[in-house]
Amino acid sequence: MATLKGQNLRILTIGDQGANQVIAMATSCTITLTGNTDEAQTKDDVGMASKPEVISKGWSVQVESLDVTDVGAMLTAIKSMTKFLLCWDEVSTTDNQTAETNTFSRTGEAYLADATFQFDNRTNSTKSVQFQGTSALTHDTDLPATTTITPSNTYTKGQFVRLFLGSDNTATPATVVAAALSLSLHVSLQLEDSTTKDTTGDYVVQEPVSLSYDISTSALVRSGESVGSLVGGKGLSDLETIYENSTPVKWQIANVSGTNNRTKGSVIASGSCILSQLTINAAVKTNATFEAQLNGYGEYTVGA
Amino acid sequence: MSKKATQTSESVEGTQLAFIEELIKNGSTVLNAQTYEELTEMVDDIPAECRYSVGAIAKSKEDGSYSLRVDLIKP
Repeated sequence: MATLKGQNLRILTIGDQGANQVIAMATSCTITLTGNTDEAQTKDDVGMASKPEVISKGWSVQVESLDVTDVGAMLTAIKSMTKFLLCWDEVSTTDNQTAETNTFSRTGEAYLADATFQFDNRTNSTKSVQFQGTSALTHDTDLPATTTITPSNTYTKGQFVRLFLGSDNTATPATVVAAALSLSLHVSLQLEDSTTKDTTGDYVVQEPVSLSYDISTSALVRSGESVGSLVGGKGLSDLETIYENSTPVKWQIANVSGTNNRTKGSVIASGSCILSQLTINAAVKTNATFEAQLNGYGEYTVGA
Repeated sequence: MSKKATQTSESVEGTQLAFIEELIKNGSTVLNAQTYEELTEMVDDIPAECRYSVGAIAKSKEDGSYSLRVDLIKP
């Protein structure tokens, strides 16, 4: 009996039309099944360990991927609290995609509870998504036929997606964070255990209660030159002004092109944020950098 | 004269119609173009009444072409 290699155990999503597709360009996935136990220890127990009893069960799935082309769709799904029908299964070694309904295959409903998109300079951008199960898991022997996707071999280099920041919460931001090195957008859907006495079975039922998001970016500190005129963007002094003002500013994350990669193309998402933390790093014989942590303020908009 | 009006090729117009039709029919589509500018022009051609989101533009390792996923946002 051969061991199963990681590329042949994949997460698939089953859509409205019954399409069963792998999450594209995944690099790893983790499936966690949890048994929650209650406190049952009494003085009547003999020995050191009490007998644990599983009172409820939950599950979650995490997928890492190099496909960020669906960032808009994912941001919409998490914002609209869409439930996904997920399954994990062994897939054919011929295409690494076609589900084979192995005995360990399981299917269940889950919320997209956490998504992080990382756009770093000269690096393939990454997506990390976490789903939280909200239903019983079933072993389906008649999974919908897998719709294979065409391997795209397309990658989004991080320098082509940039953060634009405004100076206040009114005007559309027109300039990028200058000399930026990294950009991360993290969205989280807070879920609450909503299992009641009415709930049949022992799987935990989750309900969404709130959404939060944050953006972080790092950039080089420029010296003795006008960052604005040189590379057309906001430098450390602009971020310090935002910090001093303590008021929300507009942000946009957009595809960019052109000179210095600063010409705004299609807008991926936008909103308002508060600058919650600004860290300036200055180590010997190393480029000085600053890191800005921006907390989402109000609801973000997906698309233009 | 607008930028779009200078594109007189029927094939270009036909391609534009096809991707807009697919977007409306399936709720999502992937735009493909040889250059960044062509891709952004395709996005500009999506009817204004469509609410849509875009992903991050991806570049092919093999032929250098660009692609962009577009999803309609349901009301």
